[in-house]
Amino acid sequence: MPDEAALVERLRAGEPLAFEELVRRYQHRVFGVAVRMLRNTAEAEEAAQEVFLRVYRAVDEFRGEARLSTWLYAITSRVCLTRLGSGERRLVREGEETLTRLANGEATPGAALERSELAAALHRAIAELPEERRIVVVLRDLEGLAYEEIAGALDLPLGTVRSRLHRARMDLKEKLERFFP
Amino acid sequence: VTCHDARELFSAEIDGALGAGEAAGLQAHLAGCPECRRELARFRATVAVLHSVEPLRAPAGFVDRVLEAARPPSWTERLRRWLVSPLALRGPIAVTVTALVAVTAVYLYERTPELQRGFEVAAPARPVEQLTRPVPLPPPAASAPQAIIPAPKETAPAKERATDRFRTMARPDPVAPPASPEPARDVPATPGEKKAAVEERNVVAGSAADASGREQVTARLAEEQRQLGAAQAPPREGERAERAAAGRAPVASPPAAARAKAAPDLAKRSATAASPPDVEGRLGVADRPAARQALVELAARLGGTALPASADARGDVVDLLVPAAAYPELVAGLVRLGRWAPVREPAALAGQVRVSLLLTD
Repeated sequence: MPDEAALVERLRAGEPLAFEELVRRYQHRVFGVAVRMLRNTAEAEEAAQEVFLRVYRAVDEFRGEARLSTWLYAITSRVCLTRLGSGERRLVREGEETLTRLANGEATPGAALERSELAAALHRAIAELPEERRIVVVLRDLEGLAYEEIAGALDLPLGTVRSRLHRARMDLKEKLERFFP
Repeated sequence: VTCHDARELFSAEIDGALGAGEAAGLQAHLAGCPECRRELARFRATVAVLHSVEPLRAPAGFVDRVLEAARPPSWTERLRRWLVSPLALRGPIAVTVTALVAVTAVYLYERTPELQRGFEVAAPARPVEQLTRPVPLPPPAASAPQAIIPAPKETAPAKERATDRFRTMARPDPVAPPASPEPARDVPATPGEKKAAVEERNVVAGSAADASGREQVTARLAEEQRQLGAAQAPPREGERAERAAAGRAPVASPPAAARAKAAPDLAKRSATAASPPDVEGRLGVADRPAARQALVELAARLGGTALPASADARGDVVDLLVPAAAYPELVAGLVRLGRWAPVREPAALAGQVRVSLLLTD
């Protein structure tokens, strides 16, 4: 995208406002993925902040072969999966806090679906997915990335992405079956 | 296409990612399989629910917090972080600083004679005579460390090393003649020199002990001398001459014989002088001409005088004549001037006291 390319150039030039624009533009997407993956808002904010700081320091490494947003998703995924695998996460009752807030509709006021029982069940079901499936379904169905973009962001073969996405959706369907005729 | 195969294609079917052949095979199976049609409907509903999820929003103030975190820290912040940095980082820094301080201290010590003298005079050991006789307090001096009691040469090997080092660093005396080819050694090597060292020790011990103690010490040292003499080679010609020069001292008196052996220069001088000095000793100084001048002034201040310059070959001997009452003050002055090591110092002095000082480095 032209505006993405221009933003990258301004970032490389060290323009202070460019970084602020980057954060404002992508904050919700980065934070959303982090919350879905880490299931804790406080840790998700830490992770999102870490993502933007990495981008700020490594913008020169961005080769421009993918979209800036895809690069951000790639970094976000890596940061979250690293945290999930580090074993140094806070010992909160994983997912409970965020799931409760999502089920009560606090995070998305005004959205009828989020306040429904189905929404609570869906968020819980997403949170219970295995990490490698969860990240794929989050990037595809919640963030709208194409298969190829997901494969690039996660450094996975396209077939693996398709397989994991299918398994994730099947898991969710089985957990939400009682809501469907 | 089986039901299992057909259901494996559901996800790609919804996303429009199936090839033409796969799509045709799936549609053919669905046309004849109501169960798979129902499953596909549920699958579509699940994905539809997923797509309807509202995106989450970052908390308020998130942008500001990120910008703050990305802002380069000020110098105060960097200093604070450095101060609270892990010990793993501070350890090497502390070691480096300590090493630098140590090297600087050694360098300053090497380059500062006053500092070396201060350490030498601060040595804890005291000569026997100072342990048994109160040392007169020197008058208030501008330089306090110089008023410290000097350490005896015999008990401070470190001092010897420092003195040697100092000797090599001292500027050559433009007035004094070239140094003697065989400077005074403190560590005797030959049996004769060992005996001399013992005798020198006798002098110090003998002058320091009280009357009865002195007799005991004298007897013990005389025995030690006899043992040494038995193992000693016949004296050389020079030593015989020295002994002859010192012959005026009672032969049976070990301290007197020791004086002649321990300080040959002084003994020679004593033998040639009109009257033998009452007190003899070495005064280690950094600057001999300056010390000589200071000694003249010191004697004058104490009501005494400096005898005319000696014809001694080494030109390092200063003779002073001071009232016996002023002798303690003279000793205090000597201590301030340098390293005072008496070779002969009678316990009782009266009248005018002649003090013969051999200036050494």
